[in-house]
Amino acid sequence: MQEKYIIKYIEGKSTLSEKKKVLEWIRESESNQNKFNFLKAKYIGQALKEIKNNDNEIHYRNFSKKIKNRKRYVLSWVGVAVLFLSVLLFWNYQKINNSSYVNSKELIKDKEEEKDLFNVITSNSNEQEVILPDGSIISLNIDSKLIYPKKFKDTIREVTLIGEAFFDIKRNVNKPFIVNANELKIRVLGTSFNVKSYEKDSKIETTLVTGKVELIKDKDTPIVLTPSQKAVFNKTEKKMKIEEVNSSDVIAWREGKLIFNKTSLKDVIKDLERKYQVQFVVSSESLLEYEYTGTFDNLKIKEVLDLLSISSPIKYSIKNEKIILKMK
Amino acid sequence: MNNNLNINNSEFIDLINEGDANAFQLLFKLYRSKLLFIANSYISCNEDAEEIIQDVFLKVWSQKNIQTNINGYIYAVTRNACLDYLRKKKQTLNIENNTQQIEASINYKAIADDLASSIIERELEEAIMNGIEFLPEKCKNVFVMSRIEGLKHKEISKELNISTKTVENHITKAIKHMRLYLREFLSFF
Repeated sequence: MQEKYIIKYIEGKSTLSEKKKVLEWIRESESNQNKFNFLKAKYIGQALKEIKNNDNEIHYRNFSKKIKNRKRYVLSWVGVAVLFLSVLLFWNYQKINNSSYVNSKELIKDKEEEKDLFNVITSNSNEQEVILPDGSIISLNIDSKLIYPKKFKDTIREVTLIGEAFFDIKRNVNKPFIVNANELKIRVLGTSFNVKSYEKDSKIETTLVTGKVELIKDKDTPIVLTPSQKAVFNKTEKKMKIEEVNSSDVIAWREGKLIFNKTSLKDVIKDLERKYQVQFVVSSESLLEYEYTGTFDNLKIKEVLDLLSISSPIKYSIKNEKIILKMK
Repeated sequence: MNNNLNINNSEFIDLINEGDANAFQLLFKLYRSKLLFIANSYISCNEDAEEIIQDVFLKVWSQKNIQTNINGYIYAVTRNACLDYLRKKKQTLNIENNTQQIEASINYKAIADDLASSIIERELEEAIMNGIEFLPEKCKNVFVMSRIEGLKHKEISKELNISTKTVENHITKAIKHMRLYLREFLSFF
């Protein structure tokens, strides 16, 4: 292994195949790993000379705010505890003195109204953009629902999604952003990502475009995604799989495009049915497993079907307002 | 380079231990970007690296007992934070042949390597010294080695065969004397 390839990898300039070769070489023996350790340290040592202190001033301001906040936080926690206790005592006192019971149903209703939750629902023909209280932007795809509070809590920002949306979240290290998608919680700090969680689909897909997210399912170890990774959670098998993807393909729906890369026809049909409000009939099991690769760029449904029949061994026919697909 | 300037100057370290905000700010400004670069080189995630470095400074801020080598201390805190992070990352993804996992493991070993790590520690100190050169004069002063440090007490006492306490007294007297002498000298004008 030539030293220049190792250096190239350390500098972050190697191609994917060069990188794989270097990693393989490092794992071959302890002496290779040691050589790598040394070269990397040498590189970092040299590079340190060029690192400037210019931005540090700004970061110091943020940091010193944090130190001050820490002290204040402790005080306010105590304050809240005292308030809570006194409210509890007062409430108990009222309860004892009241002769009538409060209807439990009314109590729950009051609680919900107090929460001040907004529901945004897109129909089967429109997309919608939502701007959250903190400035984060969520683009909802068709047939989707987003539930978010009028005002975020102090420690977290939490929303619920049914359907598909692209999230562009403002970074806030002190307030993680959590998306509830069916059984999964997706936790982010500040980043952009796509979540596809339709009720009828058998999978929940999360694709990271920039930043970092954590996927949490119950008490399992969280799974961390880095950009261009997609996590697919299978609802029936309860299993999570991670794929490397071209993230711009995954969010192409925002431009009216549908991009498929070895996608099973079963999934292709789901997206088409949703977008064009049509119904497909496919009797052959093996045809459903057929992997399709192609792009539908703002096409009408007839154009999609024509393209499908040209580019794959699939033929279509329309009967009783349903589209029937068969193998040629 | 001015040989009288030293990041490990004991007066500076005392100020840090006392919780002096200005001294701490200086430390932060000298070290932050360089520590971030080191962390990023091993953990390859800028968001997380920023969090790690923030924690490093929080720890230094609350630490009241830093000994003679502040550079060594701050580097060790950074290195340990990276090791903890990479240890977790090695285990996080359960997919075989996943590049991220492999790189985390390789980088873990790279920074755990004591010899390699000491190279970085040394280069860091030198780069910081260069950084001090660029500080405005007033700030530079806190890093100037005092006359007492310039000659270690032990060396002097050994030479002259007297106790270190006596050495201190001598130097204190000498300085006092010099002040008086200067005052007299200046009062002529």
